[in-house]
Amino acid sequence: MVTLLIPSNISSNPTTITETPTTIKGPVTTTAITETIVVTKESISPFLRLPDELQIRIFGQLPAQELLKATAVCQKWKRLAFDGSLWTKIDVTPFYSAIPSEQLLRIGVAAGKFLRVANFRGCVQLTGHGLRTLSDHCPNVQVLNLKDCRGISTHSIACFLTNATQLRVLDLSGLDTVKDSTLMLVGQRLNRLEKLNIGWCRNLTGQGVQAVARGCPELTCLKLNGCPQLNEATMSILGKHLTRLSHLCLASCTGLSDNSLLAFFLEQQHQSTPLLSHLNLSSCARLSDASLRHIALHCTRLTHLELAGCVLLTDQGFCYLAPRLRTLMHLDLEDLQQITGITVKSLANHQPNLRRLCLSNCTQIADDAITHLVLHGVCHQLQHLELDNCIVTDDVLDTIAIFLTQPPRQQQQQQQQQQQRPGREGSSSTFASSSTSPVVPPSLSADSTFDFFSSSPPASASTTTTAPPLTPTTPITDHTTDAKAIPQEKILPRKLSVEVLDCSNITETGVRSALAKASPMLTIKSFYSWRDEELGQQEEEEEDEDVMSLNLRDQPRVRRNNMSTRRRYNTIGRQRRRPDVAAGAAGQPHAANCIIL
Amino acid sequence: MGKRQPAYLPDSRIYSCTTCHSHLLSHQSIVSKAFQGRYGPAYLVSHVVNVTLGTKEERMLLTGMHTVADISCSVCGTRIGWKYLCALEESQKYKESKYIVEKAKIAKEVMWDF
Repeated sequence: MVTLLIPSNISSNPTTITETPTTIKGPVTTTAITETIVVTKESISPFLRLPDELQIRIFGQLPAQELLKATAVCQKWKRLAFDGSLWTKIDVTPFYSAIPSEQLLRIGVAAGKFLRVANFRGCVQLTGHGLRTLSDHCPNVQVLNLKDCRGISTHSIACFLTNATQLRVLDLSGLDTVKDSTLMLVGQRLNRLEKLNIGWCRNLTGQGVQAVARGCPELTCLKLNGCPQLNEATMSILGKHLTRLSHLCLASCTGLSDNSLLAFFLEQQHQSTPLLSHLNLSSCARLSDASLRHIALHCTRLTHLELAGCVLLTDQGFCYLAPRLRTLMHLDLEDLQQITGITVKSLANHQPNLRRLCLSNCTQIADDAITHLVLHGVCHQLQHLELDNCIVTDDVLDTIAIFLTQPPRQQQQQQQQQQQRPGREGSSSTFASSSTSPVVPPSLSADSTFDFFSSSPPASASTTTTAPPLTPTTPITDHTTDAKAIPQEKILPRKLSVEVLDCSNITETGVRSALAKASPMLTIKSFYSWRDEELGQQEEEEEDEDVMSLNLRDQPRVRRNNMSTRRRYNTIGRQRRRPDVAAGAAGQPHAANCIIL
Repeated sequence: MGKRQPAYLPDSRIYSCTTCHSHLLSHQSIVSKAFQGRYGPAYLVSHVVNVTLGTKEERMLLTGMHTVADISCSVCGTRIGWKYLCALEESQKYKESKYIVEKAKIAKEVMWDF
C-alpha cells in the first residue's frame, strides 16, 4: 500500500485533507511514485468538500447493497457508510443468499444502538456467535425476523432476547432451537411485544405458550402454526391474557379440539369487544360444527376465516354461522366435502361484505347455489370465487356472464325483484326445491330440533329460523330497505374472477363463450385458459383472458376437443382424472419404470 | 453440503413443504388439481421454487411414455413429485416442463402481514 504525499501548504480545508490520506491498495508502478501529486483546492472532489453530515445524508439515499460497495472505496467512505444513522433498518431480503456472515455482523455492529428493524429472514449463515455479538451492540431493536436462521442456538437467542427489551415484532418461525425456555424469556422480558410468530417450532409445549400469554398482554398478532400441544388449559390462558388479539393463526394444530376453542372464546368474552378479525384454522381436522357455533357466538368482528381441511364441518354449522356473523370478507372452505349448496345460499343471504370465497374441492356445490350467490344474494362485493372440482356446469358461467354484462342498475333491480318474491329465493324454500344437492338436511328446522343449536338467533336476522309459511315481508326486509336507500348513487360495475380448474362438467366452449360475453368484467381461470396462454406464447402472466385468436393450427384444436369430450364423459363420481397411474397391465416392457400404486 | 438458503415467494397465498415449511409454489401457478401422484392426489404446477431436480428417466405412465425427473425439496430433501421433461405423445405435450407436486407433501399457507 502506498500513501500519496500531500504537500501541507495547500488547500483551505486542512482538516479534510489530513483526515483522508488517500491510499492505493495493490501494486503501483514506479512512475506513479515518483510523480508528486499536487492536491489543490479544486482537485478535492466536491463531495468531500461537503460537511460530514451532508455526505452521510447523501449516502442514505443509496440502497443497502450499493452502500456496502461504497465502503470499499476509501477509509473516509467506509466510515461514512457505516455510520449508525444509516442503518436503522437492515433488510437482507434482496441479498440474504450472497452476503457473508462477517459482513452482516459488521453492519449490525456499525448500526449499534440505531438499529430498529432487523430482518434476517433466510440468513442461514448467521451463527450463534454472531447473534450474541449483535445482542451486545444492538439493544434497541424493535423488529426482529429470524425465520429460517438455522445456524443460531437456543442460548444465543436467549442472549438476544435478554438484551433487546424493546422488541415489538418477533419472528422465530421454523426454528427447532426455539424451546420453552426461550418462550419463558419472551414472557419475562418482552412485555411490549405486539406480533409474535412461533409457527412450526417443533420443540414447544403448552408451558412455553402459556408463559408468552402471561407475559405479553399487548399481543395483537400471534402465529402458532403447527404447535403440537394446544390443549384446553393453554387455550384458556391465551384467551384470558391476550385481550387485544386480532390475528390468530392456528393452522395445522391437529390437536386442537372444539372444547379448546370454546375455552379460548369464553375467556375472551370477558372483554367488552372481542377484537379478533383474522382466524386461521386450516387443517385442524378435529374441529366440528360445534366450533362454528362458538365462533358465531363469540367473534363479532371476524373478517378473515380459513377453514380449509376441517373436514368434519357440515351445512348445519354454516347455516348457524352465516346469519350471526355478518362481517366475513374472506372465507376459505377448501376440501370441505360435506358442504352443499345450502351453505352457499345461506352465505349468499347473509354476508354483504364477502369478497373472496373458496369452495375448491367441495364436490357437492352445483349450479343453483352459485347462481343464487352471484345473482340474488347480498354479496355485492364478491370478487373472487374458486370452484375447482365442483359439479358446476357451463350454464352457471353463462348466467354469470350475462348478469355481469347488464348495466349495474338492472343488476340491482334484478336482485330486488328476486328478494321481494315471496320467499322463493329465501333459504327456506330452496330446501324443498333443490334437487341437485344429494344431502338435504332439514336445515330450516335444524336450529330448533337439534338441542345443541337451540339458542335463538338475533332478532334482526331471522331468515333461517322462521316458521315454514314465510310471509313475504319478514325475510329480507332489511336488505330491500338497504337497496332502496341508495337511490341515485353511481353503482360500479361488478368484476368477478372465477376459478374452475378440474370441473368435469365445464367445457372449453362454455368457458370461451362466457369470456366472450363478459370479459373483462369476468375472468375465468381454467385448464383451458391456461392452455391458451401456453399456446399463445404466454404474452402476459395474468389470468385475464380475451377470446382466443383463431390462428391456431388445426392439430391443437382437435386435440383440445378430444380432451373436452373426454372430460364430458367423466361422471360425477369419478372426480379425479388418473392420467399418471400405471394400470399394471400386462405387456409393459419396462416394469422398473412403472409407477405401481 | 452445508445449509441451504431457501427462496421466498412474494405472494400472499402459497404452498409450502410440510417437512421444512420452505416456500414451494404460489397459488397462481397451479394448473390443475386433479392429477394423481405416487401417494395420492397431486397438483400440476407451472412454477416451483426450492426444489432440486433428480436424474431424468423414462417412465411408462398410463398416458404413455414420458421422460421425467424427480423433484425434491432443496432444504430438507423430501421427494415431492416429479417434473415432466418430455412426452412422447402429442396429447401429453402440454405437460412438458410442468411439475407434479403431491398434495400430501405441501401445506397451504396464507400470509396476512408477515
